[in-house]
Amino acid sequence: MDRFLLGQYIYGNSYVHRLDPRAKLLGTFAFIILIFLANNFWTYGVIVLFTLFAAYMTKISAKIYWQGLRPMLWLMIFTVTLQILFTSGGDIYLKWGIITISQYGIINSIFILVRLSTIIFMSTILTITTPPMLIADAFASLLKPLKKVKFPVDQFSMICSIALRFVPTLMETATKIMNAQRARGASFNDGNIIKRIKSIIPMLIPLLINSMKIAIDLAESMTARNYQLGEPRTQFRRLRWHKTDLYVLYYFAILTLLLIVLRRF
Amino acid sequence: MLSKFYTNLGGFMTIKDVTYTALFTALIIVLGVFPPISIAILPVPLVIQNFGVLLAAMILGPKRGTLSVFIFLVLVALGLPFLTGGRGGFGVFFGATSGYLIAWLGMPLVIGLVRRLFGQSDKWYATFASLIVGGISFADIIGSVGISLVSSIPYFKALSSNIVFLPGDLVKVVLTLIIYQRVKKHI
Repeated sequence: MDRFLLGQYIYGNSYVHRLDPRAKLLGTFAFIILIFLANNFWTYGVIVLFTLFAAYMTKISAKIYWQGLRPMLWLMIFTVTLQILFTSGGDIYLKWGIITISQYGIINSIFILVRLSTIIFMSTILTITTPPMLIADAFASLLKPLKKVKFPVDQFSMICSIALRFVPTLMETATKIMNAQRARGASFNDGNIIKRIKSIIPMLIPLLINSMKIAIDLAESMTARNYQLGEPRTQFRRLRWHKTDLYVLYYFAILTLLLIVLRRF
Repeated sequence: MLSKFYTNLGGFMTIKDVTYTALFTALIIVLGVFPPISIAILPVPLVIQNFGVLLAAMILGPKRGTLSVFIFLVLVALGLPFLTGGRGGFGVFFGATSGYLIAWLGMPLVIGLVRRLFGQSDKWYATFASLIVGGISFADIIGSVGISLVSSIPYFKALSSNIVFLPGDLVKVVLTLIIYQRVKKHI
């Protein structure tokens, strides 16, 4: 539980940790777009190299990255298996009913595996070197151009901040509720089928009502402190850009050039 | 058109809307931490996080519910490990199950639409119908599109494979119905 409360952030003093979170966020977004430029082994190789170099720069052990990859393993295996079994083209290695194992399917599954893995790696780099609240701040900051089309950026930003702030609170509340119900005989992971299904209700209803009470109390507190939607406000937490943050943009610019050149082979 | 939509979205929001939306986003996140409940007769375990989306749709309504789920998906896309099992990041939107995440975004709207057809009735059969249409059918239809696109599987083959989820989904619908009936007096 404690590990979840802190998200995935791991304290460090590497160059990547000190980057402006907006630079890291832009880099991650750029990477996700760039990865679709990859179409052959050369381009996928370049993407893997760039990903590994970025991971190396964080100075965080490989074990942490494996932990980031592990929850996604089922999804990756599922997606790749579907690709292998149901894609046809090139040499056919096995044909059995609707199942086909082909050269094209295997190559495509390797590409999908690399694509998913590197996207997960880049996301992991972002989340282990940046606290969740800073990620939300960076995203809200990058949304500012949308004010031109009157997108409610401030409300969006406020909702993100409040949601992240209250995750630990609700987690603690949920734990207390579950323990209280256990003290009254509820069983969440053992006992017969009906009992376990019914145990969901006494857990969710108090959690729901508690959430709604917090929402009402919080709205009253914000109103009492003169918070007004849509009015200009100052910011206490500010993000500052430094020259070293430009290196991230150069990094992805080089990656773009390499991908554009190599994809023609 | 977009400008008008956004203006309405921002203009009609009150501070209470902001806090309700935020707390339900936090609730969906928290429910993702609870491990799925494995039940012998069901082919797949019950994922508790789905209740958060269904309850957000029922309690917040179509507008705030959609916004709540949208912000949850944004946080997931930014890399935070808020899906059940600690998954997160853009990668989940490229996997075979990405369609279901997109379907979550539309569920509050569909549920709200069906409830409107029933005249916003809180009778059990009205909420049951809206949950069946919005919570199960819509999710399976859109989710199968995701499987089909990502994995090059024929659509109807992907759709029929959703049968394995039906028993668990029905259990979720019934439980959500019970919870909503008990909670609605507090809204």
